[in-house]
Amino acid sequence: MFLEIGGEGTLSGPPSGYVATLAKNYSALLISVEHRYYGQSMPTATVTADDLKLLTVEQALADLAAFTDYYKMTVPQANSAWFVFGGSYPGALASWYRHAYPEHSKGSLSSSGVVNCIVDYSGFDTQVAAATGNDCANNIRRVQSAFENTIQSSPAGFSSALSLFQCEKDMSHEDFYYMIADSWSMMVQYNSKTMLCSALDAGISDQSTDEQVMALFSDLSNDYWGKDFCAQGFCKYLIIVFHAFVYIFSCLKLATFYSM
Amino acid sequence: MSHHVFSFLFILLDNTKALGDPTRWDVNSRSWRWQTCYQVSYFNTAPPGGSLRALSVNLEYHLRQCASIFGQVMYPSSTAMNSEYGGAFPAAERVFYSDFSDDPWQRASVTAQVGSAQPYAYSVCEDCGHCSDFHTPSDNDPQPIKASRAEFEKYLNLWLNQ
Repeated sequence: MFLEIGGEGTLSGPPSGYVATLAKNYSALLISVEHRYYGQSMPTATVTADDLKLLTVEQALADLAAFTDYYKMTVPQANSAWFVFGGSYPGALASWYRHAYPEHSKGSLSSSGVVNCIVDYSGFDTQVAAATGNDCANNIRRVQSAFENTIQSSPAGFSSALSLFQCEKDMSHEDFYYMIADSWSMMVQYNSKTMLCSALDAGISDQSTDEQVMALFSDLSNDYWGKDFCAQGFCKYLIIVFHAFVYIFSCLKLATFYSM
Repeated sequence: MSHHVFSFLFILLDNTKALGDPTRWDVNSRSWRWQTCYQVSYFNTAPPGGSLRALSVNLEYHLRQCASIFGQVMYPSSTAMNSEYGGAFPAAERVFYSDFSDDPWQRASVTAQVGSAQPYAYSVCEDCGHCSDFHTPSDNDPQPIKASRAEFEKYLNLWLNQ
C-alpha cells in the first residue's frame, strides 16, 4: 500500500510522477488522501477563525491514521505493508506521521519536507541568493532597488510599478515587494534559475536605468507566470502565491507538469 | 503585551481591507494562511544582511496580515511543533529525506543526516529545485537525482521487509 499525503490544495486526480512509477514497479495499491479543509474536504460551510480551529497538523495526522484503519477494515488487500510519501508540506507530514503513528506504516519518503517550523524564515531569501550566485544575486538586488527607488519617489512611481504587473491599485508597498520577490524566488524554486539569471545578465548593465530594469523584469515575470500573477488585486495575488505555495507543497502537480 | 496592542492597531489601520473579507478569498488559500498563522509559520522574510527582497517584508508584516485576515492577534505555535516533532532533527524513525540545491525551502528541512534510521540525500545540481525527485523519472534527469532515488529505493526495500 503506497499512501501519498495530500497537502494544502485540492486533490485533482490520482497520484502521478515518481510515486506512481514506483507503485507500478512494486505492484502497490496507490492512494492519496485529501487534507482536511482543502478541496472537497471541508467540514464547515464557512471558514471563519472559529471554523478553522480543527485545522491542525495533529488532526491531519489523525486523519491519515483513521483512514488507514478504515481502509484496512473495508478493503482486504489493504492488510499489507503501508509506505507513505509526501513532498514539501506533505513531506513534513510524512515525517511527523512516522513519529505520531509509527505502527501505521513501514516508513516514509519526505521530499523537500519542511519539518522545521521557522517563524522568521529569512533562510528562504538567503538560499535564493546562494543558489543564484554573486552576479545573478546582484542583478536581482538591482531589480529590487529599481522598484524601491521608483516606488519611494512618488505615488506616480508606485502606480507605474503596479501597472507593469497589472496589479490592482489598493495593494500596499509591502504586498508589492513580496509579490516581485516571490516571482524571482519561485523561478529558482521551480528549476528555472538558469533562465532567470541569463535573462538578467543579458538585459542589465551599469548603464541601465531603473525604468529599463523594471521593464525587463516585469516582462520576464509576465511571460513566465502569466499576466494575471498580480492582476486581479491583492487577494487574487495571495491566491496565486499560496497556490504557488501549493505547487511548492504539492509536488504531484509538478510531476504532472513534468510528465508532459 | 505591547506587541499585541500594536497588532490590534494594525488591524484597524491596515488599508488592505479586502484581506479581512472571507468572500474575497479562495478557500484553499485561506486554509493554508490559517495553518501558517496558527501553527507552522515558514514566513518568508528579508534577512538582515544581503537581502534580495525589500527589508520591509519582515515578520511584523506577516503577523499583521494574520491579524487582518482572521481578525485576531495570532502567533504560530512553531516552538511547540518543533519540540513535539523535533524540527530539523525529527523524532521519527524510518524516514528518508531528500533535498535539492536550488530549493529555497531546504533550510526549513533537515540539513544533514539525522541518524541511521533517518537517511538524507542532498542533490547538488543546476536547476534542481523543490521536490526534484518527485517527477516521473527520465533518462535525462541529472545524475544526483537518479542517485537520490536509487538510495531511497534501497531503504524502501529494507524497511518494507522489516
